[in-house]
This record gives sequence, C-alpha cells and structure tokens, in this order.
Amino acid sequence: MAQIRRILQIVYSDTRLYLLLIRMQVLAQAQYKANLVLDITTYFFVAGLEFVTVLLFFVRFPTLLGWHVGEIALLAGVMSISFGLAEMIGAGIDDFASIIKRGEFDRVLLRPVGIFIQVFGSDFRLRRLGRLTQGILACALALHLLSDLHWTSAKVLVLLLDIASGAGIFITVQLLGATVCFWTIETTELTNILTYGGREMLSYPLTIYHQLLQRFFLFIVPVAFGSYIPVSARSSVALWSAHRACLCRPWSRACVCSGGWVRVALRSAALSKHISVSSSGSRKDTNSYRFQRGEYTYENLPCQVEMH
Amino acid sequence: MLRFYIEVARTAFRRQLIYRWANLAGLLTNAFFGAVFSYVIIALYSARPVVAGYNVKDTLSYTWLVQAMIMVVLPFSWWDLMQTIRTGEVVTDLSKPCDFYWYWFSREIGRDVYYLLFRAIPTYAIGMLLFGVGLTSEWRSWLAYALALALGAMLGIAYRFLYNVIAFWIIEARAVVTLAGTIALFFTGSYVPLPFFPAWLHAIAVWLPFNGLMNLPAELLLGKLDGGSFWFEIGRQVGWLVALTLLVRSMTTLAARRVISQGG
Repeated sequence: MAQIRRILQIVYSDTRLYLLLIRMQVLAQAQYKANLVLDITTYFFVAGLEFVTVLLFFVRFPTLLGWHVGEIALLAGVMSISFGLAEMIGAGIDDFASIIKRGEFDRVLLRPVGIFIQVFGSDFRLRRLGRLTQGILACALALHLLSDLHWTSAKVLVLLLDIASGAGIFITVQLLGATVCFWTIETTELTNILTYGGREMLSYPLTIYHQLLQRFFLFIVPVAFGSYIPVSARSSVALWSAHRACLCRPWSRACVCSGGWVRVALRSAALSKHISVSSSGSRKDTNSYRFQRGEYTYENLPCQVEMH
Repeated sequence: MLRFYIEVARTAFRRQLIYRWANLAGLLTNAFFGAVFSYVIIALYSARPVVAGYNVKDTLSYTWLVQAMIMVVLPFSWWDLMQTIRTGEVVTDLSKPCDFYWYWFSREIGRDVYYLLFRAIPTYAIGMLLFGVGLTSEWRSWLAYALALALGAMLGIAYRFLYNVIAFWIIEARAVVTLAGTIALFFTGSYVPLPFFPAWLHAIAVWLPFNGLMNLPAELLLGKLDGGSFWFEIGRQVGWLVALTLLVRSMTTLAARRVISQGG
C-alpha cells in the first residue's frame, strides 16, 4: 500500500513539474508573437504542400491499389496529427543530442528531480501547431470525401485512440534515438528514417509495400497501428477483419510499453557509461570530440579523420 | 583569380570527404525515401498503364533520378550562409579580396561535385538494384542531361543563396528557409513528378525557375522532350539562372553597404 502511495506521489510531482516546465516554454515562445505566427503559418503551408501531393496523385490516377482519395487522405491526415503531436510534445527529446554535445547533461543529472521529466519538458515547440492544424483540416477534408461512411461512437473512439498511439510510438522512436546519443553523440539518421520515413510510408496503405517493410512497420516499430490498421478496419477496405483489429490494439499498446521499458533499460546502461567515461576524461582525446570543439579549422583539416 | 576559385572548390570537396558516416547515413535515407515513393508509384500504376506519356519504368526512373540529384542540386536545409550572417562571420567573408558571390559559388560547386560522385551515383545504383530502373543508351540524352544538370546545379546554388541572403534583413529566417526549400522541391517534381501535374498547374510550373532544377535534367535523360524544344528549355533555364544570379548579386551589394555587425 505504501509502495503504491509512493509511486502515486512521484507521478503527481513529476506531472506538476512537467506542466510547470511546459507553461514556461509556452510563455517564452509566446513573447515573440510575430515570429511564432510566421513559424506556425510556414509549417502549416509545408505540411499542406505535402498533403496536396497526396491529392495531386489522384488527378491522373483513379485509385491506388483499390484505395480512393478519401481513404488515403484520412490516412495522411491521421499520420499528420500524430506526427505533429509527437514533434510538439517530444521536442525536448529531439534536442537531447545538443544537450549531450554541449555537456549540459551533467547539470541535468545533478538536479534532485527525475531525468526523464527534465529532458521531456525541456522544450515544447508551439510552432508545430501548424502541422497539427493541417492534419486536422486534412482529416476534415477526408471525412467530407468519405461522406458515405457511417460513424458510431466506437469508431470515433478508435480514431482518437489511434492518433494517440501513433503519437506515442513516434515519441518512443525519438526516445530510442536520444538514448543511442550516449554512444554516438549525434542522433543517427536511423531515427529520421523511422519518424519522417515512417510518417511518409504510413500515409499510404501498408499493403503496397514489400513484405519485409510491412512486417517491420507492423511488429518491430508498430507505426502501422497509428494509421493503417484502424482506418482499414473502419472503412471496410480490410486487410484484417474488424475483430482482429480490436484484438491487435492491446498488442500495439504492449509493444509501445515494452518498447518504452527497453529504452529505459538502455538509458540506464548508457547513463552508467556516460558517468564512468566522462569522469575518466578519456573522451576528450578522441578526434571526434576535438572536431566538435572546433579545434580543426579550415586550413588544418586532416583528411583521414574518422568520424564516429 | 580563377585559380583561387578552383582551389576554394577543391578545398570544399576535400572537406566533404571527411564526413563519410554522415554521407552513408544520408545515402540510406535517400534510398529509403526512393523506395517508399517507388512503391507508391507502382501501386498507382496498377490502375492505369500509361499516364502523360510515362509508363511505370519511366516514372520509377524519374523518381530515382530526382532522389539521386536532390543533394547535388537542392539540399534540403542549407543555412551555411545564414549562420555566418547570424554569427557575424560574414563580415570577414565580405572583406576578402575576392568576389563574395563567386567565393560561395565555388565552395558550393566543390560540394556539389562531391555529392554527385558519392551520393547521386550510389543512390541511383541502389535504385537499379532494388527496382530494376535502367539507363538510356542514347548519347544525345546523356549530353543533354550533363548540360542541364550543370545548369541546374548552378541554378540551385543561386536559389540557396537567395533565400539565405534574406537573413541580412530578417535575422531569424529559419521558417523562410524551410518554406523556400519545400516550395522549390514541390515545383521541381520531388513530391509529385511534374508531368503528373494537372494541365493548368503544369503550364505555370514550367515557367518557374524550379523546373530547371531537377525536372528538366530528369526529363532530358528519359528522352521525353523532343529535339525542337530542347534549346528552348535550355534557354529558359539559362534565362532563370542569369536572372536569379543578377538578383542575388544586387541584393548582396545592397546588404553589404548597410551591414551593421553586432558585437563589434
């Protein structure tokens, strides 16, 4: 009983801290109103152009392997909302690479609050509201195009749930990229491929891809649960029947949770390595560290430096 | 003076040689996106065999060509010049005894040659392996392609310079950079191939400068333009190149006269 109370207390204090940090970020960004509005409008147009791409394909081609404009637009819209949410909320995790590079992570470790909440709440990009708005408008357009679809409260719930799971999975992938940062200093391109590439891929039905890609994005990085499975179950252009889709929902939740635990375990391993390495000071002699500190100028670049 | 610019280009090329792992990672990204778009194209073509004179193979070649050329002509986010403006280093660049624009031009040419050799060719090779896209054997197409690609790369440099020079007036111009980059990519056929645009949009798009960036070289290599219109298209590309270069040079001169460097 006392354990549960303790856990609840920690969760409560962490949430309060997180909300405080977010409020700080929002107020700070709202100071530069013109800049913020320009940013939001720009990202809205950028996301909008990408959505127009999807629509433009259907000018010349009637269907995409049996799927029509409205269904693809719904897929793209849902992906956009999930991605926008993940970019907005998980912005602190994106910045993790620069925190490590500047050596500020030691400060994070020294504070008497949880590391995860600090990193998570270190940034909140209001400008991603542009993509979110575009996603919502795209979904609205898609639903207008799919006007013969019957909506029940269960389907609405599934839609909201799949947006949330999509966002959750993207944030988890970002977390994985941030964890790998402990070893590679830079976030690897792999994270970009999984997030941007995953979003691009899942804006179209999963069935058009190669079996290997399908299995990867279904079981290993289950982004497909963010868009394809729920939409196909709902609009009855089914890969699986609706029943199986509902069964799979707990599987996707389990994937996300287990993925989260894997990343936490990875992070603790990485943390212990970080502490031991930085205390020994051996990192400072490697070429890559010197490169980042700017000791190499335009004139004396050795061409055989290894960048790891 | 030409020796100097050639040396600058060679140094830029050698500097890029160091980033081997970053290049490999970028190559994987290019290949992944090429694959995703290829699958979408294949799925679209299941409904109709030929569209606007392009069949599946042609469109796949187009897609992989654009993916291969993207880093040569129009890298996605290029803010080198903008960063020197923000940090004030641009003052030292402006005081050098060489022309500011041609200095940056040669640096970018060096980078472009690197990306041509180490990104464009491997990307297209991956496309050939994965999707069986081919290469034409017509030597005329290759010559036309080489000319159009060279001009397109120079056009790309001028455009990158243009949206970075705006930072002389707006310090935090990151949003402008993203928007300018995306608009250029859209109208050059990187999102939807230009031949697939609806007729009215296509008519507008061919007169924009972005047409000459990647769409024109790709179309020339695929042999989709007949001989008569070749010189007209190249002329249009050169026209935009001259216009953009003049615009950029005049903006730079205007800005250099009024540069106030913060922080002494």
